[in-house]
Amino acid sequence: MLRMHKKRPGKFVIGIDIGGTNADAALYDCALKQICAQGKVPTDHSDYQRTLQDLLSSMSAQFPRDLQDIVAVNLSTTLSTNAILEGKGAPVNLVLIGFEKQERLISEIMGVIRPASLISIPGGHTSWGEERGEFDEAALRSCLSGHSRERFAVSGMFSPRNPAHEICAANIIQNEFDGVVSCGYELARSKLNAVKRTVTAYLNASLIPLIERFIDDAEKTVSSFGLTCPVMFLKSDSTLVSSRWCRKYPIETIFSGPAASMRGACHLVGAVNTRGLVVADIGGTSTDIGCVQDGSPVFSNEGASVGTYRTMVPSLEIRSIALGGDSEVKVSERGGLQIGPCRVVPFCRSGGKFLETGITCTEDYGYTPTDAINTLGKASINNVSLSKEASEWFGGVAGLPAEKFAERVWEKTTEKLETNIIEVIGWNKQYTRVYVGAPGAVFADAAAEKNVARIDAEDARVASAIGAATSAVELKCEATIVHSFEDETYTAFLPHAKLQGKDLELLLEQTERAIIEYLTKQAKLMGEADGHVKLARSYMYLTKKRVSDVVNSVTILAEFSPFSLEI
Amino acid sequence: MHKALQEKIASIIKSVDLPKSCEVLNESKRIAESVQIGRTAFMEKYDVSSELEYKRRCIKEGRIMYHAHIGMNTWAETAEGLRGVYEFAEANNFRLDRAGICLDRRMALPKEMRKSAPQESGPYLETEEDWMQVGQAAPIQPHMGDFIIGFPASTENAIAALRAGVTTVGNLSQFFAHEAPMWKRRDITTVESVKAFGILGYLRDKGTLLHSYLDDGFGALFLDCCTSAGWAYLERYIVEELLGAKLAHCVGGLVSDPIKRSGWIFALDEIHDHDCIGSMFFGDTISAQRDPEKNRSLSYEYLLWDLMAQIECPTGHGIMPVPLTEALRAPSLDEICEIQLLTREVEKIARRMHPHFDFTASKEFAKTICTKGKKIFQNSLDFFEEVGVDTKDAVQMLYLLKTIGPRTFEDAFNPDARSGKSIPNDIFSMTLKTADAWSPFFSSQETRKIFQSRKVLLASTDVHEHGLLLVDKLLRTSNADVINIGVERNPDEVVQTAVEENAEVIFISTHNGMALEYARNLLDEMEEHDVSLPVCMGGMINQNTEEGTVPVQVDEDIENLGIMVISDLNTLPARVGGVLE
Repeated sequence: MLRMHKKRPGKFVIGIDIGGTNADAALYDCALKQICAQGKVPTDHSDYQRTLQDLLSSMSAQFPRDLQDIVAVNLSTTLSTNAILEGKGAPVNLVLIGFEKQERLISEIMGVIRPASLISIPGGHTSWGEERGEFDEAALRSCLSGHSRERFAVSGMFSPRNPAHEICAANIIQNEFDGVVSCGYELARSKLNAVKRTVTAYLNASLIPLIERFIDDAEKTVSSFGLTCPVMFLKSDSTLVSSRWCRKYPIETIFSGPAASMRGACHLVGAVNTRGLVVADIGGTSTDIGCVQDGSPVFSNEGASVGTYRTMVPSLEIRSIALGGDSEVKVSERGGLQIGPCRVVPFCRSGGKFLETGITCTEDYGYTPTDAINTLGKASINNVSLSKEASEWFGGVAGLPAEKFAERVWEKTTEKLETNIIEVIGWNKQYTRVYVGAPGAVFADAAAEKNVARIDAEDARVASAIGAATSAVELKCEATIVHSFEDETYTAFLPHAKLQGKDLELLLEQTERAIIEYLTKQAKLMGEADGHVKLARSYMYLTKKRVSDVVNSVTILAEFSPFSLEI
Repeated sequence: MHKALQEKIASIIKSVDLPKSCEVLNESKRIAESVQIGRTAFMEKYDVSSELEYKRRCIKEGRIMYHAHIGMNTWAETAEGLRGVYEFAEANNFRLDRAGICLDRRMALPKEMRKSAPQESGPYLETEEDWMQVGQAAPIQPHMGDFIIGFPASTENAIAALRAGVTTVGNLSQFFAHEAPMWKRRDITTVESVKAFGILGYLRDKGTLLHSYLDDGFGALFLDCCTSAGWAYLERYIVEELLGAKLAHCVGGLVSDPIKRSGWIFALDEIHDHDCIGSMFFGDTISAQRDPEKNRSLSYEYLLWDLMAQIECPTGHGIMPVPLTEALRAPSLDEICEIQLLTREVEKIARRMHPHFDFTASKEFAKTICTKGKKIFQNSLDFFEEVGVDTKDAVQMLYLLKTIGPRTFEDAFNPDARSGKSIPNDIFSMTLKTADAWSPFFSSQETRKIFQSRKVLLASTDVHEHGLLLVDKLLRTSNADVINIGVERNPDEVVQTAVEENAEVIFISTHNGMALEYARNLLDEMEEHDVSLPVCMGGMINQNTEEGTVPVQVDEDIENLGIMVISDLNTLPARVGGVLE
């Protein structure tokens, strides 16, 4: 299904979301800030390149004459998430530094991941970034013998406070043993938790080969359509990273789909209304509910969890419920209804094969909310008459006429969704509801008496792709300077280093210089050579009432803004 | 228990490279030969060459000595205070013999480090001229008992003090229980302290005295008075037998029971083989209340006992009455003068009462603690020898004792301390009384419902144990499953044990002005170890800072970190119950 607006000259971005059921595409006009073309195809999980080709093909007629006008192809994908859930990561060796006396931590880590080998080396740091033990380089070299050209995850105790031992280990592995390394501190964003950090580094290292192949294929596919623009990837926080970054840190692309749909919803609703939004992205199997406050999505404090793996990857605070357009509807003996959690193929897509012998539910086919809305005339999805016949039959089982039955199903579906939305936002009437996904418009109609933002039905179907198209590169990080009252020093914890001094102002200057340098290097890795770094300091004093002017800590927030964004 | 202590001692000895005591004492001898003890205005007036000489004279004459603490912020104010008290005494026809000069804690650090250390309260003596003034402000003999000896600057301070004519210097007890600000080198502290003690030893015939205020050190942290007596024996052994100096014990500030107060004078006389020369006898500070008038009658009581004890058994201790405003704030000069004058009146009463007074109970107390204390002392020496410690080496002995701490010492050598066979020290008794008072509340059905069989971990950030003991007793009354890991526990130890023992809540007791720092470190350790448990903090919830001399209250800051601050035991069950749900 294709929609297009009148063509205008200018720069364009193609946004693509490869989801669980379908893959969506959107063509975004950067100058007009509007979507001018869309596409949707079923996802082929066995061949993502094919899915990409189909999408680009379906939109190729809408490309502007000058292919140079397409400045980027932005991809959000479930590849990393699925690879982790399906155990398709590559073998990785795990190097732990400073964990010798941490049997419980090792046991927790090994209970979650299965490294090819475990190498435990003395070293590690304290919470103040001081060496807890000397890093035993000789022991590491000895353990690495026989492990040339392999993949490694390296994790040191308190490495976000001082990554020196992890960096040293990584250098040895890369330079002397030709290995590929993911370090815990690189993915920690200065946060602590040795278990999550180790798991994150391990999963990241395991994903690298798979993602590298995908990126190669994606870039080839894009290039085969005559496009010369970069292929960018969405992270779990909905911001963009270059393929070069993605090759190094593929773990950061998990849950980019829900992040893309949140961003897409914000774009469709417009800036004015994003003060308080609750977004329900209704898919086939599940619905993801998330919030936007003051223009920014609400993030979880815990980091993303993928199956049993708890990671440090920032993730939106999303409630996923087993409710979707294809959720199976079951009728109990007493006529009671249960919606989900299983997913089936709706009767409107069954091809009618079961009607010949009478309708029975199998593992594959069943009655769904999609059939209900078809029956009620709220939508026209695939074969409406099959939905009506199914409503007739199931209504009979429940002792209800077809339309009444369909109404009951629809009521229960919207009630379940509304209950979950209320649990997320409370009874706060300030929140505006936005419904995206294929049946988004129908759900919006059902909630008409509430505070609902109406968006175009076709746009709602491809909200994730729109989110991908409208995404941007954002590079932020944070440094914290903490005052030690024990020895009257100040310690600055940066993402990649630790600085110390007795003069706070001097240390602030040194920290800000270091963080600018760090972010600029990170930006280059992103492919953004030119830009500037904005800094903001936030002081915390002892006691809320500022009885004393004694500084407790200072946080420096740094944000890199590439000049390329300023079109 | 002893096996664990043996292993700990072996590990301590292995972990540090200490010089032999004889090497250090050679240095002490060399230094002592170059030190000329100065003459203070007091020595001039009373024609003595040392305070020891004066004390012996007073004992012979039956004269009771008096002491006042002059704790002003600067030397100028202190000198003015000394002159003021002297003039008041002269005008009112009494004598103030000695005055404690309360110096800035930075004095404990080597000179070159003092400037970068945070300024605290008290005079700061920078030059030789500053030091020389100490003995010249007024004819009152200076006593320097805080942060002079027992710290890394021991040697330089001892030399400076002796040259200024200050012949009683301390504080051995502080060596064990305290450390200089920002200083972590226990080995250097030990070596320099021994060097300084050795200097006093070589100048013993010149009348030097090493002061040790038991209540300032491990003495106040033991549960049983017998352990404190054993500790006094041990200190005397190290100082007098191993180092040749003369030890002057002080006690009293944390003793409120008059039987114990007077009993300690008799005990110290026994411990020092009837040649006890005390520095001063500290007034009762733990009974002090916020109403100065109530403190007046309290003062009459303990001063009467203290004075009669000196009449009964003259030990040369300077009676130190505590100003009536003690519990409120630092006293003014008028308030210091007032209590000194009052004490002279009480002395008259004491002298009249003394002949009719019965010290039986006090002497029984003294006999009991000395008998048991001597055994504790001997047992400890025997054990140390058995496990390979050179008990003739003062450096090794002092380092070990400082490192193992009071709890380990008492648990190892006085297992009766926690039983009904002990004589609880008054702080411990107060804790037990407080526990009894709260017991009905904590044993109520409602409170037991909250804590029944819940695993709670208790720890203290510093040497102070009594807050911890109180909460331990109360939670056990509530049927909680208490895991008390004791004092001076680092955050990583707390977290490790909490995980091993499956604790459901952590209680931290803190009294060392580092509440916020500890809280942050604890939360970091918990986060890094993937531990999420409710944490409560109680005690002195303040933080020493660089700016003021007064620690800053940090209750709000700690609550903002997500830790519950318990300042009222009434609220403890409800707050903890809320998170245990």
